[in-house]
Amino acid sequence: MAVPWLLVAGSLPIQAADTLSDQTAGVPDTSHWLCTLCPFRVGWYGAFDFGPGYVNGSSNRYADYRGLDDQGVFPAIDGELHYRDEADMYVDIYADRLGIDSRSIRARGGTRGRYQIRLSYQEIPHYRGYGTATVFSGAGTSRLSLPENWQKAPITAGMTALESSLTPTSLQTLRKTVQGGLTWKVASRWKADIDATHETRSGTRPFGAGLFTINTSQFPVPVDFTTQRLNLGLQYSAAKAQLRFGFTGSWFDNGDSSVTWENPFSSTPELSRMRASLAPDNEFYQFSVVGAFAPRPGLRLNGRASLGRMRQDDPLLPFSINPDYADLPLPRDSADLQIDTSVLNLAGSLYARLTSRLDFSARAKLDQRDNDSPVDAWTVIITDFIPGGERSNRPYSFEREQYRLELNYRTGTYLGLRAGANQENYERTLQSVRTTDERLYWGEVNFNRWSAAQLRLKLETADRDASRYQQVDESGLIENPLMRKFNYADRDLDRAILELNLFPSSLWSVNLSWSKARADYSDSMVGLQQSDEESIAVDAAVSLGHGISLTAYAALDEISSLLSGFEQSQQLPWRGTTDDGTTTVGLSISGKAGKDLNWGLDWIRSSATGKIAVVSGPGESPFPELRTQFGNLSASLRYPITRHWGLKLAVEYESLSTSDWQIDGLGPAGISNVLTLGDISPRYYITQVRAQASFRF
Amino acid sequence: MVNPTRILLILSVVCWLTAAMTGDTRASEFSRAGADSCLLCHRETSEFPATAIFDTPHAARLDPEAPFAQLQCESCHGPSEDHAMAERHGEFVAPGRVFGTNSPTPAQTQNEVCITCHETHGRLGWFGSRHEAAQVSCASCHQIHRAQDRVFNALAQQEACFTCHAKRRADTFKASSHPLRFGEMSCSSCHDPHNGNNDFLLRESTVNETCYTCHAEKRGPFLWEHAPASENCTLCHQPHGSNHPVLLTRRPPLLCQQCHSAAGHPAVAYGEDDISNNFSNRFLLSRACLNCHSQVHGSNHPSGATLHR
Repeated sequence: MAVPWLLVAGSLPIQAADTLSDQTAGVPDTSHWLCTLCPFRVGWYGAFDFGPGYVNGSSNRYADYRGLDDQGVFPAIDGELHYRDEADMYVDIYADRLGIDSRSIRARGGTRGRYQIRLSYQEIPHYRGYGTATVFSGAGTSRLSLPENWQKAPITAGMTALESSLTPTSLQTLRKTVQGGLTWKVASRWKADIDATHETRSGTRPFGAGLFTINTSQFPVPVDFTTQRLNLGLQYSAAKAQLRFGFTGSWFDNGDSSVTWENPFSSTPELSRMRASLAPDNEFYQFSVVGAFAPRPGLRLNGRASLGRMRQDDPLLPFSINPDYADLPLPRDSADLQIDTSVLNLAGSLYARLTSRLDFSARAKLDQRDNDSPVDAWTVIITDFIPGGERSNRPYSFEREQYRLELNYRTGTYLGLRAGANQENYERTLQSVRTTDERLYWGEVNFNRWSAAQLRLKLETADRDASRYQQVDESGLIENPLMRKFNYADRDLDRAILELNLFPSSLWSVNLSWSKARADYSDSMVGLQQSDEESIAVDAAVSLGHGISLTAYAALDEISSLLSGFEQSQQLPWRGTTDDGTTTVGLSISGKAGKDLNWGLDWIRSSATGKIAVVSGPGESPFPELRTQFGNLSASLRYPITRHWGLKLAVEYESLSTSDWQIDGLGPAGISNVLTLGDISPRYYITQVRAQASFRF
Repeated sequence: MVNPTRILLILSVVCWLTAAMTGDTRASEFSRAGADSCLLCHRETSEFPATAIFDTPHAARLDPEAPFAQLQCESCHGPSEDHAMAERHGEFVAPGRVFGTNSPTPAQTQNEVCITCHETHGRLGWFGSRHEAAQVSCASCHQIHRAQDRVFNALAQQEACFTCHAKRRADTFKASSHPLRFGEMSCSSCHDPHNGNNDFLLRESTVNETCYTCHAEKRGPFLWEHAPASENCTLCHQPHGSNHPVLLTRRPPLLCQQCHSAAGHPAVAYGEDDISNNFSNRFLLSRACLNCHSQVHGSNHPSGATLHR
């Protein structure tokens, strides 16, 4: 294989492609370039939009990430403020949605070319579940209790106090992020930057745990996360070489390391309370060096090296809250876990312009996860109930090597050819296979004729081989010897991409893209057999004149898979198929009416279906279809009344209708031995109106 | 399968047969009055206004690296006297360099203008990156003549990306997706379009490092790890949008049965009949496997080997 590469390289000496020098027609005399027409800004200027908004309904799902969780009036406030002076000092402040829970404000300022200070604040509300309710009190804390009148029962149907004890509970988190940063030009070629982030996330999220396979409960567990991040960088930039030294630190703190709940099912006194761990505090540090060196035009070496360490040393809980196992000694009192990570891709990120028509790049990357955590034998008590014998923790390590070669050849003004080969090798410890090696080859044709049409066709084929598959004791259960976990399995992967971009005139354009991919795992008897993805998207933009522009788009997306399993009691394997299809269409039109009235109209409709079938014999039916129908129609008007004052009106109608057989109709007691949170499929039809006065200065 | 050696051999022959490189030289002069020459036409009310650039760093007067402290408009556009004079005579001659997607100036030439000043740390990996190789010009995404470049606005940035990555727009409307359509995130929250040093043009060096930026609680390390979660989040999650809850590629139990087939409940074929089966529906309905195994990202409980606690 080396011979053709040598032919390519040997035939084409590296040539300078100094595309800029041809246009530098000597240094002009700029003494009379007075810039008298240049409208440099001096002083403060900006715009504030404020007024009432109204939303005519409430839905957790509608409020998800948006923050409008109550029906009624809300303050609609946005704005931006800027400052400029003749000494190149500047301030830019942008504020969005200040009146609601998804508010954000970003500010930056400084002196151009010398320093910049950044500050920002953002809130992101997130809702999980819809229509949820719980019998537990203490939601949001690490101790959940049942009502005093709670009647335990072996199955949910016998829980006579269930109906009267249910309290609606919103599974909601609010993420608040404060960021600050400084970039400072410390010398002509040196720049330093520092960015610090303080982020809190508070609220509740769903959790399920119970008693072996006998029964289980779902309940809200507290989210009380604080993450601090720090990024430091020092950069050197010269014409031929750039270098950046960096440090990244992340410190995560969870205010609740465990959750304790009362068992709502009939149990012995020892099993009346249970406890689970929650995410432990952790730390991460990483030092990095990123560099680029261009000894001559058209030849570049890029590299990045980073070394990091993840550490976690939370105090450990006892083996069980069950008093029968209270005196079991722990091998160690705290987790004492440590993983060293390194990513090296300094070995050969080489980019060379061999001629004005041919580029060559080569890249190698090494990615290591070296888990140095101590291994001990743990006397596991499964679900506070069953002694599971001694198990050793399994600190997984892996090493990934990647090599990439690529040729990019432009035959003239309209045809480009690209081809490449990638190799990815994994070496893992303590897992079902020790190594996987994947080779990928691809070729691409770009056709760019008349600058009015661009066509791109890319074909890709890959082949992955795994070393001998072996059983590993991951969970104490013996896997089917025919199982091949898909990320360790032999695989053939083929992919095709076709893109066509048409620009018949400056007034309209059409983009079409199609892609299809198939991953074949047919050497696996049990596990994932095949996975397919196909999508097609069309996008058109038209300028209709009189300032009216229209954009329309449509996308179809199909993702399907085939799995195989084997039950001991059956003679033949079972097959599972999944098929997710999504169709999205949208239209956006905007323009100007008269001299000043700006208007816009947007419409989006997305519908998705999910078909799942698990068949182990003849005559079996697929699951009911999963359905999601989303629609959004919005209209906006902007009208300047005076030089400073204007009016903004916006109306948005959004609808969502979903059906999901996994949760619909269940209620909290729908499964005899699972007390659920009673999720239902979200459905809403909500209109939002905003009327804002706009003040510009 | 395609023979790679054959492809490379063909490529080699094509290269050998290539004619000598052609230059793209063009005699040109700088304008007589610099930006004043340009602004005679490119006023705020013109078809191609350029005045908003004076709100941006490019128009800084005292920063020696800024275009306006050097050759003003022609720092980037190159000598454009012919363009200015032809316009005044009602003719059209392109300026020295024209920026944008459908431009007569090759993307490579456009980009070298920008990279001359902007080769700071995020762009050290530009050369050889996927976008560079696909001849994406800086001005395909960036708007230099606007007071605020669209890529610095979370919603407007997405439109720039969706121009080529149209499928990703549809992903944002799927039943489960990251909050891009609300402007709470942007494509650049995870991707650095200039950085070819990392897989998928990610901001961080690995997929998991990128996810941990916002989901630090998943980092661990945990006493009991779940191997795929430690290796690559995308083995189970589809970050751009999914038909299934929490961005899962498939929904449990089939998601889990891709890898787990031990005798007992993991190996069972849970079919449509099991929806109403009071014994087996616990493994199928609501959160399915996660009804009991909630700790799929890893457990720190000494008895958490089976990811129950």
